[in-house]
Amino acid sequence: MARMLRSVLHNAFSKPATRPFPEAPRAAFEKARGLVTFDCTDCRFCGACALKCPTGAIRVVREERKILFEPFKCIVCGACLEACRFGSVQMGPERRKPVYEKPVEVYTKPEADKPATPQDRNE
Amino acid sequence: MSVLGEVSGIARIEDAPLESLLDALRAYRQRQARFITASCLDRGDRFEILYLFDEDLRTVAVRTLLPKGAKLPSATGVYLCAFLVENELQDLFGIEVEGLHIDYSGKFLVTDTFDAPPLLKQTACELQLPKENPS
Amino acid sequence: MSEGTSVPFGPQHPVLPEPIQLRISLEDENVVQALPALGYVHRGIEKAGELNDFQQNVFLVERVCGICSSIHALAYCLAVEAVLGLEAPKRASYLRVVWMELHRIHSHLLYLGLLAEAFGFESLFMEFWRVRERVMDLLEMTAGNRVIISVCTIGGVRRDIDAEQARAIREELPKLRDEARRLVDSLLSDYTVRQRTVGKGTIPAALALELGAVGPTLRGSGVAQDMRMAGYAAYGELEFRPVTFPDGDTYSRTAVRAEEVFQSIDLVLAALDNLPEGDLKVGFKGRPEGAALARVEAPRGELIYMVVGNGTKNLERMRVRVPTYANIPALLTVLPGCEFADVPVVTLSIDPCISCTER
Repeated sequence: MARMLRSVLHNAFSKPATRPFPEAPRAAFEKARGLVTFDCTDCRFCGACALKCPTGAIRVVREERKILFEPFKCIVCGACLEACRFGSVQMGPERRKPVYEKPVEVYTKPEADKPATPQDRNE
Repeated sequence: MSVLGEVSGIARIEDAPLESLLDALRAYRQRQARFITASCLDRGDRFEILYLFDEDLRTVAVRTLLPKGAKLPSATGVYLCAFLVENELQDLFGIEVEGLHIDYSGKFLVTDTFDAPPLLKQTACELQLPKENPS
Repeated sequence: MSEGTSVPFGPQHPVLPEPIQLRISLEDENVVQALPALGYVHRGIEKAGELNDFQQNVFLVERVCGICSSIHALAYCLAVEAVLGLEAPKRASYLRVVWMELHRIHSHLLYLGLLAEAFGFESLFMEFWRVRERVMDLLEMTAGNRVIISVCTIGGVRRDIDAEQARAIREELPKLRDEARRLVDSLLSDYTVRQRTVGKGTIPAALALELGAVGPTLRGSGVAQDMRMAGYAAYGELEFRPVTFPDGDTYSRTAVRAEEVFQSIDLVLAALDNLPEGDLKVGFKGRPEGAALARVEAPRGELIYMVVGNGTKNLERMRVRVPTYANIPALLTVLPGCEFADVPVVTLSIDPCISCTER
């Protein structure tokens, strides 16, 4: 009886283990794998990220100096992050929000007038 | 083509010709080795089939070479639990297994729509990765 | 046979969220025969493993299973490392143990919850999953993802556990152990649970060995065989004794898993205490040539990867043998003789993972 009373009181007065999800989503962990974004300021368009991507979510068009990224093919493994030598790929802790369409994100260099040099190629 | 040499993780590979394969398996059964699985490799004109056993946490293997088109005698008479993997060999490699106790006749994993055994080397399979820029 | 009734159990059944069909022949209420039908969701991952780059395969094999995913990656990495002649650094081996055991804890808690749900004990199911959620939080905190944590890579691990995170794990796990102990005690000592599980689906030890059963199914029959005894990763340096229960019935198998939760908690804590300093991974050059076989202990039993490389970036063959595949023959053998009402519980007692089986 005393054990039951303890459980009853505990259940009556403690907070639920669940969260009111859509109103109060949990804050992401610091090291969680979330949004992958590209910052093309230092990018040489070498294509290492596209080569390492296991799902083919990244395409690098050297001639047009463009990165095409399909976020809904991405499995957030972080292989591109490790492959990039210029720190152009970032991963934040927030998760991607659900959407109605699956867009292709296009990233270009901010000042797109400097020509790429041949020794930038990563073979 | 060659066969596997030393395999790291397998303590010993015993070669058994097709005729005496079941005798070799029976010897393992008598020693109460636990049957793990069979594994098949497509070696061009023949298959290399490894039957893996566990003996006190060591892995031992019996190897047989099966010419393509020949029938494989079923191990289900010795180890009943081999029926799953032998049905899989039928489906994925197109090997005909003779005397299988529970026979799904090639419809265990694959359906009628498959035109070739998928794990054969000659069965072409294109990776569907985007190559060119569509925009 | 012609006199009896034939009942399809699955491919859609409330107790199993995954598609496997057991064609069950009944006489009155008793099962006389059970035959499996697989292949509803076969994905051809073995073939895909031959077509992909061997480094990208790590991400592929993680998706073989939705519960023990990182253990698949570990087995694959161990096999490829053996082919390449690499040895993972000490710190990486210990970190692997931490993550693998966290995975085992959440997988076993999932099973215990599902078992409680299978005989209608819904509140216990929710309690188990509430505790499990905290293990998932630990995984997300340390590795960044809840299930598919992608920590193993060829030659080591990709993430580190820093002092802050280690402290959080050390604080959380003893609390979790107390809560899980309370739940496990109420599961294993409950009258209804005992009525539904004791003596149901009994597999004697000799039969289990003959049918090639693995993991908790084998240890629930009193055979002390656990691949962790072979000492891969850092298991050889940690104190470890396999959990066995002698009876071979559904109750024994459940008790093995329940005790393994606590054993895994101890292993995580021991691995964190002995965590050496050092590199996280070793670099490598070259492509795999030769063959290797790796056997590891997944939550459901022994998992085997065989990798055959031919000196190119694609593998010649990637063979995966998953634990559920080895446990299905044992399940089919014990089902005849059961009552039909016990089929869901007995089926669940081998903890079938169809997503593994349909690799």
